[in-house]
Amino acid sequence: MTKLPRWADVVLVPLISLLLAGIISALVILAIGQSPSEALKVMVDGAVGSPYGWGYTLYYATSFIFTGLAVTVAFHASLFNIGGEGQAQLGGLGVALVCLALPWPHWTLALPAAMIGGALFGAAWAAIPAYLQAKRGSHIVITTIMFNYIAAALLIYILVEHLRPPSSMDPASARFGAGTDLPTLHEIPGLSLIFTKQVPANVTLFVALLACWLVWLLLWRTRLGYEIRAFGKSEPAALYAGIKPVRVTMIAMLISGALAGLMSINNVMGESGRLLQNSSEGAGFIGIAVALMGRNHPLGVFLAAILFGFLYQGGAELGLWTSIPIELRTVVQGLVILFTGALDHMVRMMLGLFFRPKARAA
Amino acid sequence: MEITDTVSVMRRGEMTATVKTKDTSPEELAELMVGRKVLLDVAKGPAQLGKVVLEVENLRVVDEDKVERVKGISFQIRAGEILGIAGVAGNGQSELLEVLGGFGRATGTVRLNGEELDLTGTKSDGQSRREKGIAHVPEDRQHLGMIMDFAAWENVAFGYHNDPAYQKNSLLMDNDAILEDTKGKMERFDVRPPIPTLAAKSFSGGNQQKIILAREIERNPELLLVGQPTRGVDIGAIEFIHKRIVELRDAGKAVLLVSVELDEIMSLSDRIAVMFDGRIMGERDPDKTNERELGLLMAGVTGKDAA
Repeated sequence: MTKLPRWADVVLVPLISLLLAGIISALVILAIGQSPSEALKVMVDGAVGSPYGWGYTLYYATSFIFTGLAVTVAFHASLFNIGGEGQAQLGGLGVALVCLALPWPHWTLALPAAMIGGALFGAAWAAIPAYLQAKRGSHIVITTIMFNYIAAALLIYILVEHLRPPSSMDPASARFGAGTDLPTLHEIPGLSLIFTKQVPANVTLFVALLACWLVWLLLWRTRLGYEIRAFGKSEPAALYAGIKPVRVTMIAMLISGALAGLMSINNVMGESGRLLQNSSEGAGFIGIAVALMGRNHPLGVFLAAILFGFLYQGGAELGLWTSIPIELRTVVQGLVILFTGALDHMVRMMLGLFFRPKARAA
Repeated sequence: MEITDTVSVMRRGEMTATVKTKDTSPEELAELMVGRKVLLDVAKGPAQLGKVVLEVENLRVVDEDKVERVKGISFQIRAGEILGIAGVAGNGQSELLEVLGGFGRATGTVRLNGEELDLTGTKSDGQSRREKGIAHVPEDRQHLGMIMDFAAWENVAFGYHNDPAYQKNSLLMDNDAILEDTKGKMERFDVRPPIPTLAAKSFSGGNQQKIILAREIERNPELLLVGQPTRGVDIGAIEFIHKRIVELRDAGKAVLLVSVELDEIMSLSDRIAVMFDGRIMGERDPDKTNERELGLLMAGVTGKDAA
């Protein structure tokens, strides 16, 4: 296969993949008797056409950044962490326990504590599959998938039996105190000029951006990142170099789980203000697509998270304002994943045909 | 020899000869197995032997399938000496290198400068061996010695990524320092093209090997383990690589050379041990032996049987 120039690899391939996904989505919308152009207009208007729309798009994107980074870190160690969903839900439990434990006086105190709680619980949930992989060779994909189901069941049990206020019939925890309310973009001085209405996007967005930078630093500037990447590329070579497989597997998965768990400060603490059943709403799975599309690079993850935030919010708008069912957003997401992830090589091969003559002349 | 009618000799994945058993002899087969008869001339003076650097006693390796790969071998290497291990691939040489390199398990005793090395894998790995002064140019450079997707400079730090010279502070690595070091190594070892940011897989086999050699030799190790130093390497680079190995020996270091190329073993080694089926069949002085004798030992035929 012809090696593509870097700009084509980084920019052109994802764009063409997206375009193809868009075309097929349009055909699907046509097939159910709706207008694709109308649908696109609703999606764009609803998701990025106003600060209010952006407030939702960025809220979703924040969650996807965390879960995308979680998949990214594990992926560099050649570990496919499918368990972001479960780790995020357990992270939610950690956040909720911290928020409910004390009458927090101010969010600046509650946020760091909740971050530690979410990260610890997420990491703990990743630790068991990691240990099984490192010590027993149980495949991480299988165990993390199973742990998603266990997490969901565990959460229902804890919510119903322990965290649910006695008077409530809803499987959810009590509301957190006012001191745990994270400022939304509407409440941040300066940004409130743009976001004039209340939006769910909150300060967690900045934590997510910081996480992007830290993950980049970890992977490409630290010894641990070097070991993670080397181990991920070749386990025999890592052994030769004196890199310990058990150690790297454990640490990479713990960091991955912690990042997934951190997501919960966005939705549990920042948005709902209490722990709900299925709090992560599939963000753990979308993180896989985000990491895939973002080429397992924090910058790519950031961009892909914005795109999926757009699809998520735009899809919701479709369900709200048109007779196109909200499930269509799942179809569109699926197509984007299909083209950017699974059919990535197809696009490359097609592009390779265009780049070959030039390469020969050079 | 006893049960066949015809014998075919395979070398480097090709049938190189087929002969009738009754028309041939162990000597002829040995020559066919050894293959090319290019005598490489390596300019090297007599060995200046120093103290014993490496002592191996009764080393045994049992692999995951409970097959005994190394069956109790013992040998010594002195400072300023190249010990060549000859043998057909798969007779325990790779396992020997892995154990000495710190990532294989074994029983027996191995001493480096009198200090016993851990062979159980609990207190040793590739890192601790490097710290003790054992450098290792592995047999399979693409599988073990390098990360093919890493850039040349990242590979220069491979195995030495904990080196204080490569750190900016206690948290971050100093990538610029590694890049700078790589530039120097590429120049001194004539790596072409001398571009540190190029991925390892973009270099030819010879240049990949030079990068590994630069990384290991410039650490000035007490003991250099080197497996198949010139496998898949072009003629020009072969000479260069041989010269560097001899230079290290002349600097008073011990070298353990494993190669399936007999002429390489014969021209580089100060002493030759032949391995067959996990055992050392005998040690020979390269000046007092020939390819035929070594070839027979490699096939497991000892002096008595051949006679």
